[in-house]
Amino acid sequence: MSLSEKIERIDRRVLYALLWVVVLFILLSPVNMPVVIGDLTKEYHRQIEAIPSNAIVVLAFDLGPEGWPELGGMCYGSMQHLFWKIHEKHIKVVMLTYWSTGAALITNCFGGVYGPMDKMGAVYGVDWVNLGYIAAGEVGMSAFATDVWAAKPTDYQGWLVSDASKLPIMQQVRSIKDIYMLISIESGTPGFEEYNRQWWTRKSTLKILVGALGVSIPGYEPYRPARIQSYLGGGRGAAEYILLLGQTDPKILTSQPGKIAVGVTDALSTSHMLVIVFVVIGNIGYFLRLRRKQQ
Amino acid sequence: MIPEWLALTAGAWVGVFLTLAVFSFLYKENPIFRFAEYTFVATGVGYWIAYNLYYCYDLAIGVPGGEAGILGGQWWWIFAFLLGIIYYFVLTKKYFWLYRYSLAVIVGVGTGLTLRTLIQAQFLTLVTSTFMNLAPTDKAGNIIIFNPTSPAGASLINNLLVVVLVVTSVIYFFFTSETKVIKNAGRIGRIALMTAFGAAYGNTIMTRMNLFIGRTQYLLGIGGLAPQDQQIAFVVIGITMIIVLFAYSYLMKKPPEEAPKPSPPPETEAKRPRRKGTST
Repeated sequence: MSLSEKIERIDRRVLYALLWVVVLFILLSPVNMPVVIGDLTKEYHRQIEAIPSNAIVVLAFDLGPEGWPELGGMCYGSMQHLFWKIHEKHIKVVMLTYWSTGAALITNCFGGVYGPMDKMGAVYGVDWVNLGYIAAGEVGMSAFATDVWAAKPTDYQGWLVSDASKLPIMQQVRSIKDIYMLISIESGTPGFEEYNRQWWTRKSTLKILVGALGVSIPGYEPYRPARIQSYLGGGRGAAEYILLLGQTDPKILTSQPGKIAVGVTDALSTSHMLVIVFVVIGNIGYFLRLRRKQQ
Repeated sequence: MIPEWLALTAGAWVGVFLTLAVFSFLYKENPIFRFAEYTFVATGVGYWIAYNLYYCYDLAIGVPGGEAGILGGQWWWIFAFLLGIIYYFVLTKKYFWLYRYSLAVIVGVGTGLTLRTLIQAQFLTLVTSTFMNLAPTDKAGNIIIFNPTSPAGASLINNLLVVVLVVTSVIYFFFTSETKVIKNAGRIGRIALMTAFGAAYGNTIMTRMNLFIGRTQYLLGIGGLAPQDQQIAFVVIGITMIIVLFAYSYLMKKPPEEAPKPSPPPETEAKRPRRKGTST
């Protein structure tokens, strides 16, 4: 067997094993490569900072646990950032999800399961509310946009949204017209495209921020900045955002999602380098074989 | 009530086992992987059904004192229940046709809602986002040729690239006439498309790697709920699983097949009666 054939016939399990070794090694002894905070992340941060006083913001966790390693940092960071803004500007935050798997992630996040969530004295039902899961995807979004109370009569713990004594915040949230900004952290469908069709068309001044998997990012680029004000892309975006928030409060860096998001960057860079090496070796084998055939 | 430490320890061991069970597929298809796969699917479906039933109950039956649902006086939800129930006729052969009414409503509502806004929300946005300003200026009114501090921001070079690459990519799909200009423009378009696919592929790799690294972090106890238990479970279950997989692989190895014995040639060959009119 010639060298080119040997290269092309490397057992895929050898490549998997190599990848494991590299990732395990770098996670156990991180080199802390520098992370430059990109323009999109800065803009995402700036948009949240610029939310006017008393504005209503929807924070949607449209993801499942499978997306958590990549999006967990964005979810945790965005929620913490919004709690800071509740304290500073008295904004109102409505949390919800169109993914059944997202409901537990919301409660875990503000419940402190993933790390301490500093609510800065925000009162549930007055400053923020968790509506939990809303079924039916795009149809559910359409219903929510026209009549919030009809689409989701109760919050995540069964309290009536129409009960002004328990959830006074919901007296101000009746339709999409009342909402200033949507922050959608998502790992698929339903996600931005459905919000775009059902929410934006009913309120064209709606500000939209998106946190998405790296694989979805190329599809969002044409919508920026006309529709999406900014987005965080993949694990890299999450790491940048957590580092940016860490400048305000370093505690966020020690939270579980914070550690995951920042710790992933070294491993991501090295594993990508390994993939590039694999691609180069594969191509060398291919061209060597091609050359031998021609001879 | 289960004590918290027990729940966390059990969760860590189950989590590590299932993670390694799924990773075992990288070695080869095996029963441990299949167990994890079926567990995942079953748990996911159960979770999804429970959540949706709860939502339906809240919305359609309603909460005492609430305005929504049948309890709130909205009797028309009965029709929704009927449509939901007849959906299950998909499981019968005799009344299968009834299920089509539910399906028709779902498809009709979905299509109607989507088409209503598709052109405005997506098609027009994508078209207008290619209308670029070819003379972007800074605050002082100078044209920005390229901005090194914001390489992806608006600049003459970037905007020009968008316009040229969009036009040439569209020309690549223009098959009506083949002049030299169209052919060369199409070639540039093809390069643009390939570059876009490459970028998309790179992002796909990033996502997959992130998932893999996320699970590896969990195995190493970085960012888990019970880091020490996760680390111990990783070592114990990892070693056990490697031994089991090699043993399984060894046991399942097929013995070399014996060479088939040469069968004696048939004495007479059966002749098939030839049909009339067929050629020989």
